[in-house]
Amino acid sequence: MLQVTHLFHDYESKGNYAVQDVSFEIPRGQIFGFLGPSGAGKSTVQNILTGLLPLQQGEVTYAGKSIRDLDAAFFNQLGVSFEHPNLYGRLTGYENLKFFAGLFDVPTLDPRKLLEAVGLTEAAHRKTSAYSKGMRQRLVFARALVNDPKMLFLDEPTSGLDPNTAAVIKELILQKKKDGCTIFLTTHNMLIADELCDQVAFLNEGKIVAMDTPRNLKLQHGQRSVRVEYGAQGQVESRVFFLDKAEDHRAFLELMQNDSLQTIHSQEASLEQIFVKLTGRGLA
Amino acid sequence: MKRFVSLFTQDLLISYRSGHVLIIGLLLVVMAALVLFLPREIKVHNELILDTSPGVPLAAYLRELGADEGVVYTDQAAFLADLERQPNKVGVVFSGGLDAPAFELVTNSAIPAANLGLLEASLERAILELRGAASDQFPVEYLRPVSPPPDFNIRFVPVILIFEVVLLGFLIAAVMMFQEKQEATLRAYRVSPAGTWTYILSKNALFLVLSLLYGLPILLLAFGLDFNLPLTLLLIALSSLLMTTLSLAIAVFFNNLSEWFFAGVAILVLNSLPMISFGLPAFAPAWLTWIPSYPAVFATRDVLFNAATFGDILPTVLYLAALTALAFAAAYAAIRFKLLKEGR
Repeated sequence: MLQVTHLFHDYESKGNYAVQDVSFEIPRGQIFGFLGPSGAGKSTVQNILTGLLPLQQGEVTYAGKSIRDLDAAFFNQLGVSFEHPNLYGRLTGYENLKFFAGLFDVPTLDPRKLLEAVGLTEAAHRKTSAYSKGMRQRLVFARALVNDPKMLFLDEPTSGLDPNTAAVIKELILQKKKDGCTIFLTTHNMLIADELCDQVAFLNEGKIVAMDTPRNLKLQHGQRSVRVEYGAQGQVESRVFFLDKAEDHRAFLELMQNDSLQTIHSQEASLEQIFVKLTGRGLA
Repeated sequence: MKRFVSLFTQDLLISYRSGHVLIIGLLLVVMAALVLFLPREIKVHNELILDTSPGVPLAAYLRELGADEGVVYTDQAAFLADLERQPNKVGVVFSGGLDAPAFELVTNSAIPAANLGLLEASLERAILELRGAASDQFPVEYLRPVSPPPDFNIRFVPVILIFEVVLLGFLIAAVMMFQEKQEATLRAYRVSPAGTWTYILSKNALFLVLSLLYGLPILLLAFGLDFNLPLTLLLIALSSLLMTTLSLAIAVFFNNLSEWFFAGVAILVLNSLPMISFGLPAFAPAWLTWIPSYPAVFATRDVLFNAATFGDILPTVLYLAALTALAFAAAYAAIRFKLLKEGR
């Protein structure tokens, strides 16, 4: 669906590349996580892919068509949720969606249903200048869905949301995926990426340093170990077994066979730990 | 078309909620009050005349011509007292008689030589009339059918229509764009299929509607239905389109009203200079006549007061249309390649 090849971007044309040789491909109906700390170049890549920034070097194609030939047909199937909510403060939530829907040539979704989906029914007729940041974030997300896009760009879609609302948004994202929508998710939240993405790319200083499925990355960069809690002489003991060590492996199997075992947790590395390991820096 | 209607409705609603419509409404009320309550005729005299000659023939002659009590005096004390109260007026004292007339000017400030010459000529004419020795008036040839001079209360309607409309479109279009920049809503617009033309046309349609909503009631109050509606609306529309589009083209290069202020006000002041010519038509240096509001305001005056036809105002229409086309090209380039492309 989306193919990016050797993408470069230099804001000042002085050889200081914000994005360097970025290449990836997202098959139709998949969620691709673009992960990295602030300033890594995530938004620059997203802005190029959505036509907000000019394509300087490299190639980007949607369904085989170059981004250089962007036309109304392309924007009709595009949905973009921005990190910083950008709404008309003097319009209500409903009006923001209704008028935005009017800009598309394709059939659009009912703004009331979208507002209901993101929990804004009661605030539908309030001006968005009176919305909280979380409400504005949800409305921007709803606006990205108004044209029922085939390609969806989400920039930190759950930022500033409470866990319940974030869960609703995640559910909607998964629903879009089920509907066949291809999703480009930009975030520095590794837990969300782990939960939602079919494939993730780590971006650091404008370059992709790793790209694979979350599971493969964890297997590749983590250690095979389990943490076990078991009862011993009336106390609860805890121990980590490294399964690649013969001694630990044997001890673990012995423990599995007696009745004292209480809990077992796999100890694979988190995406965040892998990112730190690869780049030497955190995600904040 | 659907995109345009949607964006236009949105712009109209935002303009209403931003108070723009209210401002235009208030301005309309003020202008309507001027048209309704200003006198239809106003007599202004710069001179107070005292006749001290035997039989006061000049005073009698001027009164016969309709001069007010407050202009012609035969009592010196009253004359001096009124002159004291009105220091900007020129006192003219007539003495001697018709055979040996003598005039003396009493004034607080210097009188320009040209004015002095005109005063001298008119006094001389009055004396010749009184002697029965005045020659015939000069013949006057009119270039087009003569209309009676407009009433005082509607004399400034062309100025109200052209300069106010222009000011509103120019100012409010820029304010709306700065609002969109501040709210970053243009980023969302840029990832929709609606393009540059829809944006420009929507803003123009908005201010065209507001201009007509402002101009039509004033026209109806001032002239009833007795005026050339299509030609007047054409001139208002062209002025509005030109200045709104120009405003969009310029506002692209500024981030907010503070940054824009000096450039914007400079353009507005420049565009308002033809008002001087409207009050003093003889003042028309060539550079001033190229300012778009100059031909616009005079063409509007000619349509409203001098029964000008489409043929009469065609050069103005073509000039304004050409400038509007240029402004559209500039606005398109600025919006397409800067406003809808800028920003990380």
